[in-house]
Amino acid sequence: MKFGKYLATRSLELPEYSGHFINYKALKKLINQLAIQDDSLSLQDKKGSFFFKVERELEKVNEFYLEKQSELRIKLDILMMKKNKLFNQSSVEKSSIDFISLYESLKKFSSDLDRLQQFVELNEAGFTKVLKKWDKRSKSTTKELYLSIAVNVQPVFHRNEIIELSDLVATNLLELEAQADGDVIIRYEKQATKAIPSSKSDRLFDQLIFMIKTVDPSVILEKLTKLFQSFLDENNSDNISFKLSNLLYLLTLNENVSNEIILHFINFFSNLNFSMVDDLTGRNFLHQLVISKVDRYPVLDQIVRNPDFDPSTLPVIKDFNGRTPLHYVAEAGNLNTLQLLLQYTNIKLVIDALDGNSMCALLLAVINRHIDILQLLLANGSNPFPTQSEVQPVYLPLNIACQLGDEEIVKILLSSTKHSENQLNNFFQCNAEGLLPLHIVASLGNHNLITLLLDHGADVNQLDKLNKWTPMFYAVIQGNPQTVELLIANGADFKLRDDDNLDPLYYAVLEGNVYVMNVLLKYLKDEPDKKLTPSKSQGPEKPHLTPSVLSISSVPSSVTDLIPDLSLPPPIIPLRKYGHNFLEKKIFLKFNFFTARDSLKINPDTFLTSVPGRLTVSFNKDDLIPRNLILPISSKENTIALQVDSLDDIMIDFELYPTFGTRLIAKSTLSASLLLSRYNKETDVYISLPLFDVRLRNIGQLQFSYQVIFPYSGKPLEISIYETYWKSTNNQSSQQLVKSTYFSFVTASSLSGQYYRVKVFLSHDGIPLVAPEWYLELAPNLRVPISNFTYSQLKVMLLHNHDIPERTANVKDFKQLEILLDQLKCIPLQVLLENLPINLSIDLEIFYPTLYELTFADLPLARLNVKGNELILKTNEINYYTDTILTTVFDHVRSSRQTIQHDQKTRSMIFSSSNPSICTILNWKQPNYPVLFNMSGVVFDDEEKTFKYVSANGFPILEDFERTLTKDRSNIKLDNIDSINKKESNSYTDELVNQHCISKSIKQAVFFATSNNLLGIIVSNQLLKVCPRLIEDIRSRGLILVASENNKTPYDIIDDVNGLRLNDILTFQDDIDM
Amino acid sequence: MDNNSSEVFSVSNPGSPSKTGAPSIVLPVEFIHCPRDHLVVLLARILQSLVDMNDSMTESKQIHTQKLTRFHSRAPPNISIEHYLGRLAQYSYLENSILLTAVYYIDLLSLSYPVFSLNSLTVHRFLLTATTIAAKGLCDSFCSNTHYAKVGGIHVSELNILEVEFLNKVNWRIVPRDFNHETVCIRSASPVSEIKLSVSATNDVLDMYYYRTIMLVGKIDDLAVNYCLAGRSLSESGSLKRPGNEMDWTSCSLSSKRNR
Repeated sequence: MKFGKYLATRSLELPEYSGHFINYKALKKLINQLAIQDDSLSLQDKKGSFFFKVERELEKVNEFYLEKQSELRIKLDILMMKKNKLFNQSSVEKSSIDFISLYESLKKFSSDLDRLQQFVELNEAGFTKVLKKWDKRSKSTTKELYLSIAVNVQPVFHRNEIIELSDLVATNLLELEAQADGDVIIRYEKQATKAIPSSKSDRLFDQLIFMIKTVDPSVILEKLTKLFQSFLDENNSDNISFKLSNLLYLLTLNENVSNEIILHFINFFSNLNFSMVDDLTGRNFLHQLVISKVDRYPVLDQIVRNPDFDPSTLPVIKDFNGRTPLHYVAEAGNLNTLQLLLQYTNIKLVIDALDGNSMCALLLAVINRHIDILQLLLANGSNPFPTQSEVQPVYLPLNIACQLGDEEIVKILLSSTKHSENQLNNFFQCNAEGLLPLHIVASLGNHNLITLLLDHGADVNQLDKLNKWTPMFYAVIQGNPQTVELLIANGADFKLRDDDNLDPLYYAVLEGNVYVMNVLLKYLKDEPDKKLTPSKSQGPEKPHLTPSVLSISSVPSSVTDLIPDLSLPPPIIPLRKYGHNFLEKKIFLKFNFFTARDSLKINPDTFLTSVPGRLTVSFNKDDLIPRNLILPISSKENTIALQVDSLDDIMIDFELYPTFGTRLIAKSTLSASLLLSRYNKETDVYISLPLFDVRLRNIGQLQFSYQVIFPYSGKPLEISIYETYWKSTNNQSSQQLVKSTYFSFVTASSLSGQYYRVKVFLSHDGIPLVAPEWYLELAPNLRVPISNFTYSQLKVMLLHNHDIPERTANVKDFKQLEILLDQLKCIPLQVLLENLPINLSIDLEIFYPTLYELTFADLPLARLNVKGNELILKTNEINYYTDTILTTVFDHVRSSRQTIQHDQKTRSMIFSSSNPSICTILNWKQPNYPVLFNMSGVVFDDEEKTFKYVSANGFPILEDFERTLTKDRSNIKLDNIDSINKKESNSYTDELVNQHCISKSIKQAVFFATSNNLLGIIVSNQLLKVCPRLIEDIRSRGLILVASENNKTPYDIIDDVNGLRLNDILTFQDDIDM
Repeated sequence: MDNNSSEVFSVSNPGSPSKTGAPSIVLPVEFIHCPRDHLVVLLARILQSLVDMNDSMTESKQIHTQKLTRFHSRAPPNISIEHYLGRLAQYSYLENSILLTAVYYIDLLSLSYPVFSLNSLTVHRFLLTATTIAAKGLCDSFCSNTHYAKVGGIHVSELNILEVEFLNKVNWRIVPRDFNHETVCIRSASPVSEIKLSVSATNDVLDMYYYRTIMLVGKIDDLAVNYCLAGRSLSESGSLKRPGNEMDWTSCSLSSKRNR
């Protein structure tokens, strides 16, 4: 994401800091300006003017930080004093006013500190990024040096002070909680004698609460009157009004106290001070009443009518959150109270006031979907369309309503300005991230809102300021076919290309959104060249790129100390990479965490002393380094992989820390027995561990999934350099500056010639079998998986002929092999390998049902039944499965190495699988043979001429399942209120969905293959034909690309792929030029 | 030798008028004091002559697969040796000792890795690798491989591979010493060379290469600039003697290379 936009969004969340952030935009502009004016200035001058500006920015940030920090310091000192005073009393009641307000204030302080930390972090990122940009444009390497000598030495980036404050406040909060819960803190065991008796008002309060809990409601008022009277008799000093006000203040918050009692209290004591403002929280009675979880309308009504009530100031006072009572009312959705408040005219002046999170009352009503409140606020003149500005971004209610997808609210907002036409041009504005309402709607798939927005004049082809995309692109990536249809029906241009010269169809194929693909293809076919002629959309994509390239290349010509470009011709011997990493003896352990903060499920109502900023995973083994994950977790860094010697006594600690500070927030431990007991039953384990805080209270759960891969259990196949495979990459580094032309293609690999694809799986009792298909078609549409039979059963049914080895040995070419397999239906893998002529190469496609197929498929797939096998008990089924197949293969290779002549090679083999887990495991268990991932989740339906989803091994996908994937968008948290990017498009939900995504989306498949070090992927030829640009993109990631085609009819050959699999024969293109 | 400061030699030396009338430049006796630009020209000349010679020996254009090394380019790069060396020297901030060591490495590598020969396909990659290794081996401060690769015009991953290949081939004997010629051969099976020089300090080895270079290519008729050593004309330089150093020129590897 573009950092400038990100900074704008974040500064919206931290309004008290906005204006003091690094001016990233201006610095970026300056770099661009300096890059354009070429000859007039020397590099030294440019450098001077740039760094002058950077230093001013540093000063600005630093100054504000110091101010803010000393402010916080003083605040904390005050709080500490209060705390010490409180502790000097004999007992601290959890319900006393002092305690509550102190506790609240400390919490508030903690969140303030957190915001300061965010400010520091954002600025640090800003400086790093802008310096990186400078280095890139000026081709110098000042970044590291400047960062270390000028930036990081600034007090703002010295974390010591913040860490100290953070630790201090966490300690204080804990002490306070401990004290309140009655834990003994030895440090505060003081001289005992001088116990100050708790104040009278507190005692009254205690008695009052006690009575409410015990006394029968019908007689309570009477009893209370007595109590109040006795209280008055005892106390007739001057400050009684203050004490009583305090008491009332406390009563309003207590849920057990009914309105009647409070009213009674107010009526009984006449001299209450309603203008009292709590000195720590800054709240007055109005705040207290509207915050209360109970509806305090009658009390409010009473207070308002009281002659002592001061209507000029009270309703507009802001508390420590910057909120007026109006904010709280709008949030809680209390219509009566709102009406009551709105009768004061002065409140209308602050109706659009922003609180500490840049939110106004109207916005809170929208977020919490209080429609009646919204209407009332609008009727009272609240402005639904604040003007967006670059300097001081604001939240736009319409955009947020669109994000919520609430049709009614959007309607109300849009119709609200009918009477004031002059505001019409403010209807559709970009939010801080640069997105317009229509883009937001398209990106979330709320297709019902599209017509509504278009009716009110939204431009269907408008570009946003984030990616320079039209709503079409967002709709395509999100994958809702209805949205796409609707947009096209309303004139959206579906052939438009973006700055990277990519059209919506490309993104649809990349993301694997099949339904969208079909819609687009349908329209593309219907009107082949109609749209081409206007050329409004086609023309401007090239000029976008060229000016930036020119301006870059003009810089070095004027500068002498820069290195001119040069590239030697490529070397004759390509750089080969032999084999891949594998497990020799160690066990591979991988933890997958959910993206963002979804791995953490904190119990509601739990207050954390500080916001969790990182998750540390440490181990009880010395040789394993603890790992850190920064929260929120990004989709690129959501895994932790490690190799361990044994799992027997491993203990894995998960600890939560704040971003700054060393104070532990919560901790959990995964023990070896738990790790394995779950793993034996399932292949990919999803687990949630309880999280305990420092005082051992359970505060929530930590959720993640993990994968264990054991090394090959048998004797590994000896590696000889001539027999393992290799691939070579060739770097075309001619134009390093222009990103789109920088590729590192796989130019060659040791794979050449033809391979015959056979399906390999285990029989029910664990004998590896080979078959053309994994099922037997007993009658039309009656398919039974072969793996459901035991080997002896199959022997009776299919393998009763004794001439199988002989017939296999007589096979001369692939054609004959195909006929043989068709006739026999199934052969043991061992028999095939031993007897098939050695010059016939095979592609062993391992069949193993995916999680989806195990869960949803119609066919009853029996799991393996290998009784008493030690391996399967110690590890799990999928591990046993691959080991058994590998053993057969290795035995064959070993025996053939002994028998064959010296110059002959052993049989060429490759592994492939449609199941991602099998691919990963196979790749980790051996370095000898390459593994290809078969991306088979999208197939072309020849009859209907459309694409459709299937599961990895060809089962139909239930529509319901697809639908569940696109759901769960409803809840919006405060920190993703204005940004679609904070919810990552490919967030990790669970292994089932993950596997599904890998086999349907090219983007995910490529990411999976590269991150697991596979040799390449096999992709449907039809998909590649639809979007040839993908070929380049896949190969540029260093993967071998094989196109697969299943038609018997003639097919179009695509150039540029490394290989083609037609039906069962995989042919690699020979392009080694030695 | 103390009176030989470099500015003295930048003007043409009246003491040794050249035949063609081209300016003749007198170079200091110690290679350390030699201006880098001149040294680059000199070394480029000797490299060029070597390349020309080796190219003419393999006229048939057929390169056997067994004779391919990682230093081979697919086609001769279209930057001349002199420019390339100048580029390396300028942007990678190479000192004189490194440039000379690169020439020394030609002998070392050809000895231990007979398949390798300096020709128009290999010279660029060889120079880049040699200077990178020499800089790391001899200098206190050097640049990153990324930097060298950028200057040299190849990808850093290739430079890394070349570096390892080179080091393995010369058995990691990268500091110029005369006894290296024996030790590099211990690993490879090639016969131990009979070259025995009486010098052992790096400085002396490099000085020797320096003298030899000037002697061999300092004066080439059709070139504009002639070089000669301070204090003696080129004709005398064959009998050059430095105190304590007995130079046996006939056995110097540069000329023995030429004889092959």
